[in-house]
Amino acid sequence: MISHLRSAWAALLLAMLLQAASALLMLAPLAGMGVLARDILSGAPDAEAVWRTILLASAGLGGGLALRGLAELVTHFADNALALRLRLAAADHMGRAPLTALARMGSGRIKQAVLDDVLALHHLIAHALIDLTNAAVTVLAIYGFLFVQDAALALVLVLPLPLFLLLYRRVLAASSAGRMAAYGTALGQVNQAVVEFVAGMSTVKMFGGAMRSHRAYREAIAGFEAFFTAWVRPLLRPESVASLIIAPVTLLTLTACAGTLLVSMGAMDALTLVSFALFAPALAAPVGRLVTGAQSLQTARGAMARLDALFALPQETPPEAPELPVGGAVRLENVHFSHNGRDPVLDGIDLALAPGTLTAVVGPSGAGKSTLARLLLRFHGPYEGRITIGGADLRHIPADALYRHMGFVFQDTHLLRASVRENITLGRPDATPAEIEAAARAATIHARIMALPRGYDAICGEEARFSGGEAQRIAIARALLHAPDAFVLDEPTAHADGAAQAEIRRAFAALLRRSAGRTILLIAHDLDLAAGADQIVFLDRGRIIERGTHASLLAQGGAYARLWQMQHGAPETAS
Amino acid sequence: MILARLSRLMAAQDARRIPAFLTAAAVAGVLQGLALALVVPVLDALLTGAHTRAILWCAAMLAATLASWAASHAAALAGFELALAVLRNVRRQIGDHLAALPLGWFTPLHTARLSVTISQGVMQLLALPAHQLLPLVRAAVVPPVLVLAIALFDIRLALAAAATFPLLALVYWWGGRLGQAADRAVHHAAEEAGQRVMEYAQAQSVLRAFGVTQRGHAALKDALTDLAHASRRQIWMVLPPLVANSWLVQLGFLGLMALTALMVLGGSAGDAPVLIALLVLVNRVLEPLGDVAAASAGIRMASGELAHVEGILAEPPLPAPSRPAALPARHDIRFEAVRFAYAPGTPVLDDLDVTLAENTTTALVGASGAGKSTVLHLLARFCDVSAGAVRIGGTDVRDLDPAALAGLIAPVFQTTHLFSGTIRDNVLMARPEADAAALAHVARLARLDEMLARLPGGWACEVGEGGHGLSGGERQRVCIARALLKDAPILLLDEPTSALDAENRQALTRLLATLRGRRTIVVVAHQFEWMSAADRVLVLEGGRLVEDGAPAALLARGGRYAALHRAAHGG
Repeated sequence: MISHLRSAWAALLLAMLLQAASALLMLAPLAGMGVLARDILSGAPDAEAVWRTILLASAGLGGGLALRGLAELVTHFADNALALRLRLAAADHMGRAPLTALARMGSGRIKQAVLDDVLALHHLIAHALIDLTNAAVTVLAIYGFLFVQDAALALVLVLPLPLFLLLYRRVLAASSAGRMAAYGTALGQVNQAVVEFVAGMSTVKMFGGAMRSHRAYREAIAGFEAFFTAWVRPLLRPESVASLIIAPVTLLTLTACAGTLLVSMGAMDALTLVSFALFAPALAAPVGRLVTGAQSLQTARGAMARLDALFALPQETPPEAPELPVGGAVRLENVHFSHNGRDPVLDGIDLALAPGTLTAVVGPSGAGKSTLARLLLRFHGPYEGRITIGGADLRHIPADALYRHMGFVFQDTHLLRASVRENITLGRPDATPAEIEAAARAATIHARIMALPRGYDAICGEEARFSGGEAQRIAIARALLHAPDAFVLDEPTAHADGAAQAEIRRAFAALLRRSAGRTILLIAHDLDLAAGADQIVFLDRGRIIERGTHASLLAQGGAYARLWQMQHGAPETAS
Repeated sequence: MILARLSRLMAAQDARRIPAFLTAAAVAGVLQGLALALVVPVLDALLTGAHTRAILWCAAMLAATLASWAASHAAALAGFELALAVLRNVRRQIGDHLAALPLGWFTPLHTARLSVTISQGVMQLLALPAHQLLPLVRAAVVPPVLVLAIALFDIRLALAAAATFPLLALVYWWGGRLGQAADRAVHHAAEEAGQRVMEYAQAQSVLRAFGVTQRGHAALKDALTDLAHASRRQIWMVLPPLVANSWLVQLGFLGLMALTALMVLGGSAGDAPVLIALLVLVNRVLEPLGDVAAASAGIRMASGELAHVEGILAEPPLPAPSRPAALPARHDIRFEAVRFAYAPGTPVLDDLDVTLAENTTTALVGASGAGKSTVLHLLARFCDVSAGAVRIGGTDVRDLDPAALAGLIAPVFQTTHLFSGTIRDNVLMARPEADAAALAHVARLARLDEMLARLPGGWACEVGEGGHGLSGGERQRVCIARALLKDAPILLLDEPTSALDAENRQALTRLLATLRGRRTIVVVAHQFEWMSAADRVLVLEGGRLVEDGAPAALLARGGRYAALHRAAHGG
């Protein structure tokens, strides 16, 4: 994070120098007016001198504006490049972080960091730094000039500053990192309430009366309103008074009143007061920008902290002594795994998958079946014991080699918002149209795709809305095309919203047929699919309690046989 | 204009605050202009040595300044109250409107935008009344007041100052237009990037398993690069008008300076002291306009959010009958030549014409995408038919009061949602006055009792956000209990047991059998136990009714239903 910022420093430094020069040049017209006033009062102004003054003022102004434009361009482009670099780096970093850590962070927070927080840095880099430079240089230059003109009146004009800062301190304190975080949380709650409200809309319509309908939503927005009002209302008066204290009209009136006294006492001449009247009101804007700049700095600090949290996610480091898998053999030796270090999810699993065989894992929900599957893809970790894939220790297989070697069909299919084609070729972008179609046909989804107006080019989620079962079949086509040496198939339960089970089952059967010769670990909820496996293991509370073939397990009359009977209503007769 | 738009987002009594705010802001502007203008007589008096007169003018200037403070402060407070009024009202108004929209409106993209608009968007919108209106009013009032004051002393200088206004307005308008176009492009790119980042985060497991994170997710990279490009275009669009604006303000200032010089050199200037004093005033004329230009980006963004909110509120709701029909006495269901499509050209239901007798159980069968769920959604009026009519007891559902219609129907939908809260809260939602005995009864029927005994806290167990603290099967049982507690004459079930294990599924199939003949039941099911428990099976295909009859008859006929049956039972 800091290293990324460092890359922008040179540009920022240049911009700040440009801006400082610009701030000084921009005072030229005011100075010119002062000179002009003196010339006019002298009675007989010299035309050449007057025009030279105006010319110089114009030149100063032109140069100042040009430099400012340049400074803004430099910072904006530096910010633009930095934002892209940061975002790409963040995406890359996420891609190497353990999934569990990512899940803990949540997609909402990740989005906030990658987009919103990088945007908050924009205010710092593109605006706040040069604004602060501009304001500081302008304020210092004007006060310096005024002190040279008349120290007494200049001192009077300094008076509003401490008062202003005193009042504004409360405003600044209120935008401290802690308060901003509370605000972010409150806003997040509104966000969440909207999401829940919309998700529950149909339920609200059917069950909620008009009164109760969106009570939770209303409570959330009322809660936010209360938080916001309590937070901001006390700041309102100090902020308003503070802004009035340094308003141009205040500074001008102060100058006029104090100046009149000084002039009438003979302590100052009237013409000097004209200079003050020209310059003093010009202090208002930069002083105001000094504090808003400070506020931006604070906001940016909060954003940086959140970005740092993203970059602090641990990284999966490439193995020091990489081993490459060869062949489809998979072995688990005394594998233990627990999410929290106390309650075992897998409790001493010994399992060998011979190359080219189908092993089905069955058992009640919560037995650890899906965890077992995900462990093989290193989605969970760390585990105890030893897992080898193609003879290589899972811990020492480089990520790209692992994912080339192992395929996976998940219960939760994620179709990306991309064309159907891109979704199917996710693992093999170079597949030919014929290969894609063959995979889709085997997954019994080709006809459905062709019924779409744009066929394989239809964008999922936009032109093509697939039901859960259809999405599952696309995921199967994706896996078929990927065709690695070993497969883990987590068979979808029907709760994948409204899956047409018969169709999915057919597609799964096709996948199994097509994958003959590959090693397959099938997490089966539907025992009909498992029945054809070379090996069936029954998992219960993280342990394998039965293993064998369909026939041997039925004959054994244990847990598997009981589950089979429950699903089929009657004792098995013939297959 | 912006004020009229804002006032529509407030309750009537709050909208009445707007004139008071405007008055305070305008008075503040006039007083400020007056105070600034008074510097001319002060300086004039001092330059001509009339010190007593200068002190008197100073007193007047001080009085005007203090009065302008009071008015400004009042205006700032009023502006904040306006902002609070908007905050109070706008989210509620959006919420009420959302509840009246057809469910088809809630696509993922709409929903994603919605939550951003309601949370951050509304806050940006608040800046308009809270911070931006006051400078706008000041910019509209102070310069004319100052020009009038200058005119009192020198009409030429006043005219010259006034001449810069239209030019500045033009540049401001030009900048606004360029900025809006660029903003839209950036906004669009940011939305796209936001969706991609979410997708990237949520689909990590799939992306990794297929090696995409190793290669780099091209869609995300493209979206982020597009965003950077759009932002860069925005720089080119926004910076030049901004710079041009400062140029013009300063150029106007220089022009006035040159004019003064011309007047002095030409000897046509009146009083030299007055002229010098006027220089100070000339210096202040354009300043409020410059302030507005500097704040233009914020104003533009707030107006953009205002447009977003207005867009949501302008979405047409499902029409409610002006004079609702009486509640139907019977509860038979008639689909009368019903057509339905989310988008023209892709019909979801195509000429469905069927009557379901009162207190019968009908099973809807068909492949995914055949339109089964849509049939239930039209009945519950989540959307309206494109053509034809849906009638309950002869009454068009569109003629019924929405609450009355909801009262007739107890649904268990796939999208049925549990709200954060306890199991009891969620079940009681159907009938808040239900007593413990009624709760216990539905718990037994929905097989909730086993779950209640197991889960910590039983009825008081928190279900978590969206019910995700429970397993899919547990969620379904809560939904079933809730629907049973509602005790409505029509029961709609959309794959109500898909996530249940075999044992619970069997129990609930028995439950359906006990309800048979006592309710009008429509059930979408893949499980054949459910189909065979129905009086009648409708087979849908591509939105059309292709088979209709008693399950046994259809099985005997050997058509699609029989084929599905074979496929499911070891094909």
